[in-house]
Amino acid sequence: MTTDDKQLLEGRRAPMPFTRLLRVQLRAWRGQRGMVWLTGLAVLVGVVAAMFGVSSLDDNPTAPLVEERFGAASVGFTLLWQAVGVLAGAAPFRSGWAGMVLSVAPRRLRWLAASYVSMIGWAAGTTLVFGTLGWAAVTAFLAGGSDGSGAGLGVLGALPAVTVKVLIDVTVGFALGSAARSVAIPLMAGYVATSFVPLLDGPTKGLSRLIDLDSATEAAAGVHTAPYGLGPVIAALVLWAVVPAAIAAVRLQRSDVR
Amino acid sequence: MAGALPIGTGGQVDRQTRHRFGFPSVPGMLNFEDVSKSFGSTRALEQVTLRLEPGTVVGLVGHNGAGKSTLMRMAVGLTRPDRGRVTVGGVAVGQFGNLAGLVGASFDASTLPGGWSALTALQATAALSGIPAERVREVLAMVGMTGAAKRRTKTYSMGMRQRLAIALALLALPRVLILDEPTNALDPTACHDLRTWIRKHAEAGNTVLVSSHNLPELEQVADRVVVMQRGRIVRDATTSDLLTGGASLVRAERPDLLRDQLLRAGHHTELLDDGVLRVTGTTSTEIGRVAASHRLVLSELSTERRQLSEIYQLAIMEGTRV
Repeated sequence: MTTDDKQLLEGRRAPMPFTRLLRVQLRAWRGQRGMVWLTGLAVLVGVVAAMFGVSSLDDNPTAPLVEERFGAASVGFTLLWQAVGVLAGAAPFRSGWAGMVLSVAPRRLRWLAASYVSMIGWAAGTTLVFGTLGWAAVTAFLAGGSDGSGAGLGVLGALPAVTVKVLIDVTVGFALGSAARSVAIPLMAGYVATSFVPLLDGPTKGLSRLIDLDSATEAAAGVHTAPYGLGPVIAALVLWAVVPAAIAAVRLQRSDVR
Repeated sequence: MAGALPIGTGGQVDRQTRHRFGFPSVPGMLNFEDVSKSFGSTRALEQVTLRLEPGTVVGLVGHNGAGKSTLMRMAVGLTRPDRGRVTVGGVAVGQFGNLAGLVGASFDASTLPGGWSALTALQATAALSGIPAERVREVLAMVGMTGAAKRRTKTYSMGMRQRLAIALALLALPRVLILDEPTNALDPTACHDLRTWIRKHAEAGNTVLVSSHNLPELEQVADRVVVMQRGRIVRDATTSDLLTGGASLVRAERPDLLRDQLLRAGHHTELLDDGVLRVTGTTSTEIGRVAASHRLVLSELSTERRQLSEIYQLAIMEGTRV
């Protein structure tokens, strides 16, 4: 074994730099056409929906009114983020990317963490783009009114809540996707199963509160207050985000990677 | 004393020489130590011990499901052993945080990201490995994929995907190169190129582990062949030992007389239809000595070269009996 070999062996014990993993993962997301399309679609649908929402306001809208309308209409933007998260969580396992990256950077949880953080960065960056486009569009639309530019600032007021909703949705999607390593089942769970939560109201009101992700997201974003306190909010977030994330981590550590 | 050691490739010969000189054995570059693995009730590997030295190409052969891929995936930590350990340069694979330049692997070429281009896949892997972008162009040219670099891999033929997988494995010039069935779907020219890359890589002092069902190809490139069956190693020998460990073929002016003398000397000898004597259980030197002592003229003396496929079948049959 040469001196170079010994140096190489010693040097390679250190984990892959986290920033490098982040950069590479962002590059991977850019190469993932489905995700790029879904992200673009979310921005487009969001801006169009926000324009419709704001267009129904009267001649002299105020910033709080714009904030409320923009916030409500931005559901068009937030709606798709759970799907983006599911794709981001599942795609590396389905495409072979997980095997490629882990055969170079074998610390599995470090890579999973980098994937998640880069996804959060991707979502936050896109929300910023959405906010900027939304603000520009609303300001231009209201420019004819007496207080157009001032009312346009209402968009910026709505952005923190939109950002929190996006981050929760993308987290839930990512956790479900990487736990299941498939797209269909997490999408069914995230979009379809949650729609049936109100049906549980009759027989098991307490249980439905504990698993109601939509209400928990709204409460966490500060859109609505939590009528039953923080307990059900935390329980729902744990159930939909923390539990699947833990399953994903354990599964990744214990199973073979393809 | 150390000066008496031959300066070689660090392969089998050096290992034997070190042992003969009483030197402690250095750890091989890639070691599988008593490795076992089960998938549910299926035992994929059972107490496999294998040591690969620098500068050698080791061919891994066996039926589908023999455990070859499972063993190879352990070298990069994609599959973890239930028992035993896998080390690179004496360090357990699980202790590495970064395998770039140390171990490079190509597995199932069909699992490459279909939505990506070859360029994207190579650039992402280069960025991950901390390799300059020029190297990407280099390997693309090496595998003849420069023209198709920007096309999505889902539009590639299986052969093109295979070439991309090989390029990804070779990108960081790893000290240990793992190639799982790399000749699948490759055309004859690409197979020839692959043999050249593998030999060059080993001659540079690196270790290569390559599995294949293409035994004639493997015969040409491997220094050593390991036959696996049902998760166990049933044969492990140098290629030259395997291929030339058979009989000697002798053509003599008086074959009948030579046969009698060889039989008398205790060597199993048979006279073939074309007048050639086939002698087993002895060396060419001994045959020459017997012939000379009875003043018998030899016109040809060669070693029968066997095919790897024959040896493989034999090893599998013996393994089945075990």
